[in-house]
Amino acid sequence: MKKKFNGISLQETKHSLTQILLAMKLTILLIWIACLQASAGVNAQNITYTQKQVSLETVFKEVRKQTGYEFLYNTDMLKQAKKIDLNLDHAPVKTALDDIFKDQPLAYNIIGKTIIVRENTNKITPPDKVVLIEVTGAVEDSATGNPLAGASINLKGSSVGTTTDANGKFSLNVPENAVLEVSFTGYTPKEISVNGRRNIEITLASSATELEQLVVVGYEKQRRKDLTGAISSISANDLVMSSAPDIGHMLEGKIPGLYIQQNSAQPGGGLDLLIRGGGSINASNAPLIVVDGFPISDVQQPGSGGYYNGGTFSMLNSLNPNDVESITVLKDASATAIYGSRAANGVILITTKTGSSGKAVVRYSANASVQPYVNKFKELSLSQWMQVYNQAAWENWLWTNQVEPWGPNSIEDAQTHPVAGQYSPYFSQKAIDNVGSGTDWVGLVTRTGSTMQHNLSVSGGSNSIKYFLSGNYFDQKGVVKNSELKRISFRSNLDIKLSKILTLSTSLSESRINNNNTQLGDAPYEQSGILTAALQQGPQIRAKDENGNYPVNPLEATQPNPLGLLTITDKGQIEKTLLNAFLLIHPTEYLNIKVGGGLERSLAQRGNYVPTTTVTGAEQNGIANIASTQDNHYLMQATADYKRTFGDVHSVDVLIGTSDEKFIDDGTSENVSNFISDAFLMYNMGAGTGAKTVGSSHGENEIASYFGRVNYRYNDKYYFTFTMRADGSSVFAPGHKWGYFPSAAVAWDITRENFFKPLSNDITQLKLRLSYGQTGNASIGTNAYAAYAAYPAYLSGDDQIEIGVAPDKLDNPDLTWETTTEANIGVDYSILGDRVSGSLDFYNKVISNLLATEQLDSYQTISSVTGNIGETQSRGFGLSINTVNIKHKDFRWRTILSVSRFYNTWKERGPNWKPSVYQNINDPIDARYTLLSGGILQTGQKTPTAQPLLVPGQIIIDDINGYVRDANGNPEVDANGRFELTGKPDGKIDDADYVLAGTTDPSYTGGLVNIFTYKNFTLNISFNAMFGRRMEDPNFMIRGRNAYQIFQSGSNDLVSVLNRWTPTNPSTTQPSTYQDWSPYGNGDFFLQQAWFIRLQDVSLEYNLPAKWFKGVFNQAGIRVAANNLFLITPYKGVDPETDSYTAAYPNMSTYTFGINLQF
Amino acid sequence: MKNIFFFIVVGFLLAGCSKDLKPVDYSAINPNNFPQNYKDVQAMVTACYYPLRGSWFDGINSTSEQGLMMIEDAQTGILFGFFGQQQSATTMNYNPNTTGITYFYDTYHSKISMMTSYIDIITNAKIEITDAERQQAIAEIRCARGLLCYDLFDLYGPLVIAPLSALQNPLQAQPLARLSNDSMVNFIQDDLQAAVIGLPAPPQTEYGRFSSGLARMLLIRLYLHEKEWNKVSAQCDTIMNNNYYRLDPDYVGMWGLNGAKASPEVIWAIPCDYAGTSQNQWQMMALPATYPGYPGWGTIQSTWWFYSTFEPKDVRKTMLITSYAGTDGVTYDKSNPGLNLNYGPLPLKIDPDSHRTTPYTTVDIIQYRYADVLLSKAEAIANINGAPNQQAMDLVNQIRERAGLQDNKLSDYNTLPNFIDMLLTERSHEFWCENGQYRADLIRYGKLVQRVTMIAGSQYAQDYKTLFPFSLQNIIEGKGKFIQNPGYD
Repeated sequence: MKKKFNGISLQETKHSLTQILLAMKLTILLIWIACLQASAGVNAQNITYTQKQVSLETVFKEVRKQTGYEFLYNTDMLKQAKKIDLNLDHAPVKTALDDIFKDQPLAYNIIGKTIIVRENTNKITPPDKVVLIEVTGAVEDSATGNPLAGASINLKGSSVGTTTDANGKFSLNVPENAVLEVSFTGYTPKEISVNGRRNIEITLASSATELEQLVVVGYEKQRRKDLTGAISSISANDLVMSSAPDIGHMLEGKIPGLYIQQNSAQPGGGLDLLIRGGGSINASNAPLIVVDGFPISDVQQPGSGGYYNGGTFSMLNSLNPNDVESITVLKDASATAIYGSRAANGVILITTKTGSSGKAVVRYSANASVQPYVNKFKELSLSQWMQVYNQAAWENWLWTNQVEPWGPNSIEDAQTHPVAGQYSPYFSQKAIDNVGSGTDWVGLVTRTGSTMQHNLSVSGGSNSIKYFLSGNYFDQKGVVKNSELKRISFRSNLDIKLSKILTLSTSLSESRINNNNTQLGDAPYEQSGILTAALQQGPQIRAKDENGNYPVNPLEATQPNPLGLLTITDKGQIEKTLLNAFLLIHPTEYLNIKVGGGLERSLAQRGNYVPTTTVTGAEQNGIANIASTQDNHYLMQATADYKRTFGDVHSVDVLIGTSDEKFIDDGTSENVSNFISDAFLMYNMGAGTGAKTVGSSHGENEIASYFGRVNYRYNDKYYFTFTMRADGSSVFAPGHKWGYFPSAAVAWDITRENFFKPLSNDITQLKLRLSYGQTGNASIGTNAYAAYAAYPAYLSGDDQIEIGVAPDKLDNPDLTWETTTEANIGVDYSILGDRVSGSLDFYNKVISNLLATEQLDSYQTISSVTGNIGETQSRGFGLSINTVNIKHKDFRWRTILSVSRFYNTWKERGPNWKPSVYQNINDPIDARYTLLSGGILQTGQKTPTAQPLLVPGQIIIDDINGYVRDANGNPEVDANGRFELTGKPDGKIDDADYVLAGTTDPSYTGGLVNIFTYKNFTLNISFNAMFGRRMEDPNFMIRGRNAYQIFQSGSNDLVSVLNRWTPTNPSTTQPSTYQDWSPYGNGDFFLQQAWFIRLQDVSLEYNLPAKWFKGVFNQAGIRVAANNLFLITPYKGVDPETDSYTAAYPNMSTYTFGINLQF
Repeated sequence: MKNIFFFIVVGFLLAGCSKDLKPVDYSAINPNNFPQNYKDVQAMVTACYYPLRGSWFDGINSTSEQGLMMIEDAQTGILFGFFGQQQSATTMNYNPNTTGITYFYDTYHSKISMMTSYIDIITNAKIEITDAERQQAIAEIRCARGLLCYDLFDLYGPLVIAPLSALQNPLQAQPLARLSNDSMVNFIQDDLQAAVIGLPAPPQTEYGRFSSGLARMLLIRLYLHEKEWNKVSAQCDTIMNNNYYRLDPDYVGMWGLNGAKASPEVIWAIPCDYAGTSQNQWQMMALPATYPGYPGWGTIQSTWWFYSTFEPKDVRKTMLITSYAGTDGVTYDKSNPGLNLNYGPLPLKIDPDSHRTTPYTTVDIIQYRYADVLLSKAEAIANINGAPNQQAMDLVNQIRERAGLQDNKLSDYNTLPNFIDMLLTERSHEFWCENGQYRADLIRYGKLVQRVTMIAGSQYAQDYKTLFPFSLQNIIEGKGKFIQNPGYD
């Protein structure tokens, strides 16, 4: 979602930038004023107030603000009161009150900090007749008896109230005959008459399916039962806080339709997040992630200066997972359309915790984990390696000299006229038998990983201020040496009630991630990843010589010594500030207005030094590189929401809003080489005398939006939603900047129908939903304007750089939004007394005007342009089942199951589509096209007619089809310029023989969570799974199937090379070293099944009995957990999920111990 | 309520102040105001040299497996490739999916289109430059286009040459056929002849830039390719009569650190420097890791066969390194080759520049030399007459004398076939590891496939492979109009 913008007008930008800065200042001023007011309310005991003809209500408010005294009164009483003139100057409370109540039909009493207002009738009630008593009590869940922390207790008809503490306890001063209103989110509210009781135990009935629970749906909250779109949400309580730094890892398999695949197992490694599969081709398929109303940007570290790959990082790393309250995933167009142009891939809404009024609650948790490294790369030992070396050299001699079965020659012929000398063994048998174990390269660069985490939060508040503050320290050392990630983060969420109608809500989070990067990626040689290098380096090479140098393999001079790579310094830092401030205005019972904005500032820095102890560093006497990017993202937003119920049955909810987002991105980089010493690292760039390169960039872009939503609900039975958003984006050409994204949905809760009454005890919800709508996608990563680029192009006769200018980008004046049109049909259900609930959704998305790099004719100077290139279709379903299997006072067992699947296919292709003969218009998007292999050709077996050059030990490819050819033998085309096939074998292996063999997407994906609670124990077991996958094992493909590299380069390989086909080992499962010489390719020979079921997390938590630490803590718990404990899969490689390239960062099991304390 | 409205109004104004949504970028040049002056035109011309320089990434004369010389010489026995695309070339094991071989067309043919567009833009630009400036800029670009077209034509046969009308509507797909052989030759010839007229004479040309002398040299290569002996002869005569060039008495010195620039023989060399822009990395390619000084990657060797074809006193073979004392304490030579000299000597036709601190050297990449004019003239004479004469043999002997060898006698090479055999050998000794044109010389006499068979014993060597294949993408986008080279379909 990272935006890089390009453009033209500077004047314009400065102008609007000033406005934004002004707005920011205004916001800060507001916060400041609010804080001042809040503090004034606590301290002053005297009242200063001058006003004419002011109502008592206003006066009370003022007194409360200045003194902190609460008023207890009946609204009806104030109707009789008359307006008064006041002139108070530092008046004591008593004096002031006397003044206020003079000439009023009312009187007052002060009890503690409460002022009780009563009618001043003829029948004078003596002050002591209103008796305030202290009521204490506790609020519990009626089913489980668990205390409910944070439940509200309010005196009916007043503003007096409190909330329960962490143990569900409360105390409140109220009149003897008061009525208490008790409420808690997710529970049915209750009214309780005090009747003089001093101690009251209150139980609240949970709406077990949490149908009453409020769900964040984008710019507002709705009751879960009122939702009309495909929306899933999960509470942080149901997640296991694992040892990963980001919440994404914890969501794997938890939400139907949310596909999460870890693409790197390094600390903080990146995730591919896909909602309902990716239907876009080149434009981003990443969902929009909105944290507390702010759409956040993906910020990655700058590059290393081109020497190696630093891996990927999850964009959620900057968010402390402990701060998360809930996560909502918006899936269908009805739900997402409100986010318009960026919602095509779904929206993930993350809500962080807020305080609730009551005593401060301090929570501390800590966990530590270890991640032992288990080497899953089985490589040749030194003696095996020497043996294979000799054999491979012999095979190479036979091959080069075309000795049978590989050629016509006999061994004797070849020895007479050898192509490259005679063969003699390189190692004697004696040497092989007596050699040591060789260098264990993988062992040298790996270690036991560990994490340590501390999390502290304080929350609480009064009626006027609610706060949540948290701090987090996270430190992970990865299993590959030099990979390390540290995070310090801080959050402050404040809600300040400024007056009856004004609330200021602010959220500030700051996080800093410092990491040490190791070298990742599958590139060999100069840009080698450290694990790639460790796998590749031969066991005969010493780790370090007696002079302290790091020897390299003389046959692979550019292949770095892995231990030498550890001397590279590579430090990254990502600092993210997210500041949000919204003013909530609640002028009437029905209207909520929210005005405000925010700023997301992301600073990413990377500095690395490649010292002379590495091959690349030695070539240039040290290379230092520093780079930084600063991305500023501003948001201004205003919404108004009108909610009202007419005549008990007609509920209307209208939301309108507008927002403006601005993205300003800057970047700089410097690179220099040739240092006199490695000691400077990258901190003394001026000392480098080599070639210097510097760079800088600046880009700005903007999205302006208007949006609205209307919800209408009839008697909680029929629901209608209509949403509309208009987005304007600067990346598109004039005339195509604005996109409009409407959606509509209807829902019908059948259980509310009269005819359903007989069943309504068993089935509490059966809601059918139907939605249809459009969303957009504008992430093209650039703009659509034509440009030339200038660059160093040639040297003068005196070796001076001369600049050339060449076309760099074409404009596409017709470029416009990618539009997703989605239909969704779903059902939400809750049956068997709410013991089984969940939802089932089917969807059909058509993505039109696909944004992608359009390949033009290759002879064009610029042979690609960002274009709208056709249409795809994405269909699928998501099912969730939540069950309460056992519901007993002491023992509870819940299960959350989610299953989903998608099918992505093409529907229409653009005019510049250049299909291969085997491609069809409607093929899957992630189609797998392959030749079909028919086993390995054995010695003596007839050479296939279609493969005259095939020799024994190579893979046979099936000849199944051929081109229609003209008289000259050239392939013929049809009227559309497409080549045609005969459908019959033609004695040739070419493109005509490719077939479509499914897709590279998984079929079913899902997760299964079981939560067992027994007294103070909670056991959580989570599985996730992906089915229907086939893949090649990248380690086997590069390092496991032939012995050529061992001989030619002296590198090491996996033990599987021992199984290769040789003239004396006629394997049928693994071809010979010389398969790579076959002109016909591998076909599908190396594909393997790669479905898997992973035991993602097991966690056992024990809440210590309260009596053990009475008076010290309110609550204490300990937890042991294991992550990635085992994997069930037929795949023979290291890990079917993270093996996305050779020597990928290994995904290891993690064992965690943690404690939780609450004060 | 007033306050509320104030907030609403302020809020909506702030959010809605978006106006006309213009993006900002500082990395690009707006085409609406380019080119504006002579400096801009110069930058356009320089951009046309860019694809012709040496660069592993995008310079066709790279001294690496991504450059013409290494791949072409690897097919003739001058070099032996034992892995990668250099091995594909050595063994003739390639097909339309061999990207290392289709690379040259796929990477560089669109540059022809850029040059076509630039010629048009400069011709029609309404800017204040003199006619002479305009004419020279166009001549330089036409020379660049002629050179690039010849190089690709030499590898792949006739090319697609996009007309201006297709280039002006890039978004509109338009499948194009390859030119016929005659049209292709005429196209290159027209460019080069225009360049001869428009380019300055060699003495007036800045070192590294195109001169009329280079344009004529390229015409010679084109006419040799087409066996247009009279035209070869005429161009050679003009160059020889102009007396701009003469043989450099110090053959080896031309590849010294500053040799090419100082040499009277060099017709065109590509300036290179340590920091790149134009890169010469031949030491890295040719030297093994155990070579003393600044070692290399050992990616290629010569062949012992090639070495054996030199006469003992030939100074030109002194740059073929047959033994060295390795940093690992082992002395490598033909009898103890290890994996460093097992196919042949190290082809280090360049100063080792062993004190450099980067993989690149400042030694310039020599592309064409006057010696080629002399040997081409000799070949033309022999072919025009149907037999060699003394004039032809004298030209060859000029080259041999400079190499420290005895003159050859006409009586020993008095038939056309054996004169040509001798001449080809002489060419390989003279031009190894320069511009790769020895491959074209062998093809001209139908000798390439037998050479590959002899050197590599390869079962993949076949006649049709003297033309490289086009990648399938060209065939597909050609929609039946673009015909693959025979044998690869």
